[in-house]
Amino acid sequence: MSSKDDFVEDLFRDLPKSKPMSELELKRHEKMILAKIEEMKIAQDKKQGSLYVRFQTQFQLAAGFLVLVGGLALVLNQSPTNSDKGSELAISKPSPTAQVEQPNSEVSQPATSGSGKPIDLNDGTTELEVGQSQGKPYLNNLGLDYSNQIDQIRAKIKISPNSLVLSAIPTSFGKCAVELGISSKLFATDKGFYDGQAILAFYHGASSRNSEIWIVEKSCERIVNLKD
Amino acid sequence: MQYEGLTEEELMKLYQDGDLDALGAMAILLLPKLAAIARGRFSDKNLADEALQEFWIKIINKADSFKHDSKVLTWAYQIVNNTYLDLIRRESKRSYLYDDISNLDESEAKKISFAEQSTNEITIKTALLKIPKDQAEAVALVWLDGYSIEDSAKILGIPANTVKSRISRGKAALAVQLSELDPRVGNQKHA
Repeated sequence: MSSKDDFVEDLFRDLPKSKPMSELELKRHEKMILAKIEEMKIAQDKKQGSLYVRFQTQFQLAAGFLVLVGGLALVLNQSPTNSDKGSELAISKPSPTAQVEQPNSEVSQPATSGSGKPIDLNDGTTELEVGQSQGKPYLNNLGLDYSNQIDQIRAKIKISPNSLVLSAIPTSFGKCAVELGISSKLFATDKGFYDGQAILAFYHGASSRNSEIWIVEKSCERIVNLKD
Repeated sequence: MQYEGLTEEELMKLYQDGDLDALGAMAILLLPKLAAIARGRFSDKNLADEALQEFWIKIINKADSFKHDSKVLTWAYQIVNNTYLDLIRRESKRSYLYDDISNLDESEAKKISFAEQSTNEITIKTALLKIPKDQAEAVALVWLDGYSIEDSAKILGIPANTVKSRISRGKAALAVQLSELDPRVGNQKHA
């Protein structure tokens, strides 16, 4: 052990430390942990729900197909003509099969027409799509606490230069913004905490540079407004 | 409380069996230890708070990767230490402390002294990034967090002698990195 290197230990040990965290601060983190767990539960439920819906849809399609095939078989069996004519009928009856295939072609149709020919859509729809793609970066999800991390939030938050199209933000946010009467001049939204409680934040004002932050509970109850 | 008296390992097992609330209880159980580490490693209260939040978020997000081949605390400490090194890297890049100086309503002399102190703090901490990770872990636990060699050995899941030798090698490596702060050299000033 060389004593000439001992100054290193002193340098580290002498580094300033912040004050121990108070019970209140720890409680705030506890609340944030519980909020995070609730968020994970919701995400898990959604995932399970969408899996169930997908399974249910596939099951319904398969069941529909079987019913159709069964019906066709019944019709063919009950037909008075046998052997030769029967085979003729089976060949000359493509319409039920075409009906079976129809749902598939219906499913794929909107995708091809939507992506291939956007100009064919009316003007309003085109504008909405542009608004959506521009709006997304401004749907922030910083997860920071507005009661004590406002400087970090201001450094990280992405604010749109133009007000957001209401249809470009999630329905729950949109409903709440309308309820609060701030839907016309929204420049950003964010999810985070206020004093440990999970909140939504709306950046609303006359312009993107002069906006007020509306902190609301997930139930859309206003908690506080923060100004620049 | 239904999880009262359960260990971190038991809570982790419950979580991996599908109980999300047990994960929350486990993170809350670790919270005081994580807070002590955050506090020991950051002089700025906001940074310590931010670090604590990042610690538990990463632990929660990575809980699926826990293999039950070590103590939860040992596993969590690896995550905490990696997060800490990332934070130092980030802070040294954006020179957070410098930005703060302009906001202080203090005399010029105080500002300069604060700047010097902050520079040294960043220099000392970033030196940890330049030595092997296992040495940085041991050094941080004992010198920054204030754990004894024995407790550090328990946290890291290694023998006490290994902790000692890691610290010894870390000290030598850090001395090279921090030679300009050696008081015997007399040029403590950092440009």
